[in-house]
Amino acid sequence: MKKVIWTQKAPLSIIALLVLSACSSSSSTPPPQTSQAIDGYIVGGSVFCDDEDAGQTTAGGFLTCPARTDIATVRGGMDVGFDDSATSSDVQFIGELKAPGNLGYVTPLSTIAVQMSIDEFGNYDPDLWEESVADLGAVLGSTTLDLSADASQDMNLIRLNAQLQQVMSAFVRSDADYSTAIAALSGVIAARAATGATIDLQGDVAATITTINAALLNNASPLALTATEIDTVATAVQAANIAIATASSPATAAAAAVTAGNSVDNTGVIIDRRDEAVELISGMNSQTTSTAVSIDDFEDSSLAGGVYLTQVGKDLQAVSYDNDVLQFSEDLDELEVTMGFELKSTLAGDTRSLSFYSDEVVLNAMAGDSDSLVITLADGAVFKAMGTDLLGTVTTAEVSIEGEGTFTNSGGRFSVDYGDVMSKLESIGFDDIFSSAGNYEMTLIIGGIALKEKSGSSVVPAERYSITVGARNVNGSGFKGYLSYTH
Amino acid sequence: MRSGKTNQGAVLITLLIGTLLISIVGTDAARAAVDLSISVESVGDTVDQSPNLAEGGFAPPQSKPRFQAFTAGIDWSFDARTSVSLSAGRNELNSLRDSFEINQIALSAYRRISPDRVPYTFRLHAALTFNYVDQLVKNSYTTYNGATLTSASISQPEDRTLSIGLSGSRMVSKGFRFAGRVNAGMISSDHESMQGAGKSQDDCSYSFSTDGSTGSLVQLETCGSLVSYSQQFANEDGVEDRLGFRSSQDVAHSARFLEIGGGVAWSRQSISIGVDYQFRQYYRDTIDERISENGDTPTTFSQTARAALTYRLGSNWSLSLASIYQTAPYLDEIPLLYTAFTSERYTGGDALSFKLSASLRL
Repeated sequence: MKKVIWTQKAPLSIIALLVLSACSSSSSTPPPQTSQAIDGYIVGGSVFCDDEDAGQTTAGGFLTCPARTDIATVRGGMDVGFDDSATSSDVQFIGELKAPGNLGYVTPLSTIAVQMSIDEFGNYDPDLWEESVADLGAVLGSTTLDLSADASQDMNLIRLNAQLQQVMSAFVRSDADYSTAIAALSGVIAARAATGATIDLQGDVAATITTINAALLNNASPLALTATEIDTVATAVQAANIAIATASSPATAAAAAVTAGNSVDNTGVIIDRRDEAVELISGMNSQTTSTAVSIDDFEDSSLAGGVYLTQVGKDLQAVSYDNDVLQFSEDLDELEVTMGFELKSTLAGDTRSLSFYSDEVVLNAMAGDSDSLVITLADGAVFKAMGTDLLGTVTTAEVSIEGEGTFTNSGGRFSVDYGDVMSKLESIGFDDIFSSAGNYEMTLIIGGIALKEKSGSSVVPAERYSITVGARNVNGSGFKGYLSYTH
Repeated sequence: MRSGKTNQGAVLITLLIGTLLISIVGTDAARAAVDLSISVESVGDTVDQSPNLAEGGFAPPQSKPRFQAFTAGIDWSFDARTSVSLSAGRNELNSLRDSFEINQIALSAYRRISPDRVPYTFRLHAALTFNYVDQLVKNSYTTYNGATLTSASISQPEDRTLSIGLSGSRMVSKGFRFAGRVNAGMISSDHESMQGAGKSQDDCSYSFSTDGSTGSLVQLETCGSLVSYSQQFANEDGVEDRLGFRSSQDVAHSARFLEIGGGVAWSRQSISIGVDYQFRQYYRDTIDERISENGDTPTTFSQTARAALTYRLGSNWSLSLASIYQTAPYLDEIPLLYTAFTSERYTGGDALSFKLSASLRL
């Protein structure tokens, strides 16, 4: 009797199981959205999902955002061409790309289309997307433009993205400049779409650049170029875009873009690795001591007797660099950059670290005059910091600060006022990482602009470093050194 | 959080089942009896409860009894020597800001070990009591170790009490009987996690959670120049360093106790009257030290006095009315309420409650 009952119940049990699993799968949460940032693949770019920090792009330019993300943004990074296994290169990507979270590809084209889909309230309107893409395609002479196609395989998309990026490079000095330039270009495209006109990215680049520049001049933007500058960059960009147009494969298109990048060089800042460039100031009030070292000695990670070559006493107050370390090949006018600082223990088992950065650092300098550098952090600028203390507690904070003081330039040196930052952070619960002696790795970076460095007679792309603050990876060039803190 | 307590629980249950089995052996089925009972207990005092609101201010006051309990039970007497009891109940405690509703299950077994037809009785007994609740929310502000918590909740708190003892009674004259007892037991109180909210010295609001090993803290809104703030604690040292407590020692605890009690009862025909006194001494782990370090006074003993009047209505029904005085209200009955955050409720807070019971013999 029992067996009969069991047999009758079994199909019901199986049906119940199937129904339940179907119910559970249909009601499961939607998967995250995966995209690729492509100009060539953009690797190591900071990712934002609807303005929330979301790590950085990986090999192949991949990024992941939560389901239902409206806009995925990638800022900075390195252009590795179309090598999907590469994780670094010497080609820095200066810009900020955007795309709808569900598009799959974050490219210069998608960035323009997003800008063209902004409504009167300044918000992205997905209902305007299709029309924007259609207008963009019409103006660029590509009526079948499909931004959801694979931007690493579709040669039409590869060429258009690379050519547009060349046009942007004529104006953009930093990641923060990109959105201003994109807004100007999008305005030009929208105006051309309304009249049925087109843009020739190969034949008459000067006209396009002039029209964009006019929009920038109208807004009194510091990105606007002089007539002479327009002539220079237009010639370079046109040559670059012709080379890109004749590329027959993704790899040759990428190579043409790299070559073109070298001819449209917008590197305004060069790091000069000279002797006695770094000074570490410690102590309090009148009892300060300073230790001057060369960049090479500062970056020496070898230990002698358990300590690094560079040693400082108690109460580190500032890390400063000779102004001549940064050389300016062009005027920097209100250049918004990211500056970051990281200090972490290198002792085994010691989890202590402190890192902070701000995206709102403004540089002003005159070409050829290192002492003209002015580093400004405006009132209300936001600092993001993360620290790990001896107990393993990880503290993350976002603080708005009052005025300058953190990054300064005086007496022929520009400095990070570590003591000032620490007093602010200690007041909100961060531990002073220098509360005990130890060995530390110190990193100072400037991000968002192309930096090169000069050593002897060679000028090469500057070494890039990454600082992690919460979910944000801040990438840039600068200095990474090692010091021992002695009590 | 509870991994260390699992073995202890298994030992408790094994002991009780063993006691139960020993009691069942040799029972006389022909003399078995079942009694059903229900009871309600209250202090007869109300409070105008007005909890803090998250947005500030207080909720409109609602009159609630400070304490009431509802219990239903079944006693199964296998014979004149052996009985087993099972009860389930709900305790409700209300104060000006807080409201706690705690569920209770109790299982006990009794075995008479003295011979029949003698004027005295000795019995062994064992009991296991289990209190549990989904969430214990403390709405009233708590200041502990320098931190001000505006609210605190304990997820899935529970306690287990095992006691064993010996009781004896003797008829001294017609209708009068003296009784005495001695018990020993152990208590284990635990929880899944703890959450809450507080204010920093800069008046910034934050929420926190801890599971006894790790924890986190998040600032709830922009506070002055501090736009956002969060902490992830890798261990309880970090939790205590920031929040001033560690739930594995300030909430979870274990204890042993010794209890003595005695009373006198008089019965004639349908009426019986009894008075009883009980003293329990607690021996706890680190929680009492931490309460003392915080400047509060731990409660290390409790006293209970009871007077009861029982009236038998025929051969099956009986009614009982008891008044119960406790120096540490419900400390013995609901150990999970004893935490470093709530210890002050037991100091200088005695209570008198009244319990009405009805039982039916089947």
